[in-house]
Amino acid sequence: MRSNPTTSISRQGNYAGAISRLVAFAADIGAAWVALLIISAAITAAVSLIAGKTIHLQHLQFVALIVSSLWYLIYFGYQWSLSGKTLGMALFGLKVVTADGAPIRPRQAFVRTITLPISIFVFGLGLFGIVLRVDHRGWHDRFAKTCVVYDWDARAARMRWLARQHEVPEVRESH
Amino acid sequence: MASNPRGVDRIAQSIAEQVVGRIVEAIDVDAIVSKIDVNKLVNRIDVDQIIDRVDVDKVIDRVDVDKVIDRVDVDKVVSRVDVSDIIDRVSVQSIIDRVDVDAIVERIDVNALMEKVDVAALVNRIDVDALMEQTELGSIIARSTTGALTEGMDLVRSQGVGLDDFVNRWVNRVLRRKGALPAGPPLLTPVVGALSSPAAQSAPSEDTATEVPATTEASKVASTADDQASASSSS
Repeated sequence: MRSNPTTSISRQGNYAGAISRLVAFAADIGAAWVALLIISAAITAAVSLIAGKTIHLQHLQFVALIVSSLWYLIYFGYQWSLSGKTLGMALFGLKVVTADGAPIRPRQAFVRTITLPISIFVFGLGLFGIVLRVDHRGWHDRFAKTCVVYDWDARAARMRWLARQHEVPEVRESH
Repeated sequence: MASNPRGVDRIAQSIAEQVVGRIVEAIDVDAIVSKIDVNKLVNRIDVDQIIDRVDVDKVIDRVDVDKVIDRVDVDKVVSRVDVSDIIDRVSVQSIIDRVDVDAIVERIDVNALMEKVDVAALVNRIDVDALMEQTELGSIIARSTTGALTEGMDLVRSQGVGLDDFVNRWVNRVLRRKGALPAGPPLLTPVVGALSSPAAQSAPSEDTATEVPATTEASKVASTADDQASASSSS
């Protein structure tokens, strides 16, 4: 059976697999951590400038935990509600959409953000669906009625590759 | 005794019939007709006056046109028509000059026309490789879009897709999934099971490579990027 040519042009809109999602999530955690470090450094510097005191966050571990948790929720929730993708997801060509494939609403982004820790911290059981289910939906996806799809254009990537192939002889000729 | 007038009439009638009969027999009609100048006679007839008296509409009404048409052998008539001769006589240029093309174009509903066009099918018929090779399009795109970052992103994404496909294949095999599986949400992938079917995601072979172009599309980008990298390193 030959596959439909319209779907073979690009992977856009297909359910994204576990590896891409895991790597994108790792990238997001890293990006959020770096951003948090920068923000906390800026706050510390500002406080020391204004109040003349130096804050050591390592002494306020509980506060730091709460602040960082809130920051991660804001990081994911805001970006998902804005465009359906985070920085890491944009990097790896992924996007969160509704279970039907429509753009997600802010409410869904909020539910997804709140339920993501549940999927992770209940022994990771909520993430099994990403690997095992046909639609690669974890608990947080099912709670928020969302799914993750590939958003990058493989067709454009192929054209870029062809363009590079076409350009190489020209460059060599010019030399 | 009074005379019977009916009896006299009867006698007179029979005498007259006999006399007239003999006179008519005696007349040589041919000789009379031969002496008549028919042309002179016709010339004296006012044909216009006769035609004026004829109610042509009434005559036409009485004609059964269908019957007349039924009797006409159209094929015979058409076969006798020299179409090429007619075409030769027609001045096509003058007809074209009379046509108001702008008015025709204005009457065309371009949107309706475009809706009927299957753009996806049209695009799929384009041989992108050939297009890139034969035109300047390749170098233009390369100059405008190719950068180290884009190249790297394409590579990383295609590697990710390749790994996803690998995991999916094994999961489907372990869970013994058969039949067509949805490739994506219904609004984004209307055709079900084009890519995610376990058959399509079985162990890689030459056959599956041709059956699942999308999978190969992504891996092609990856593999070609690898080729490029190895080529550049060897050079």
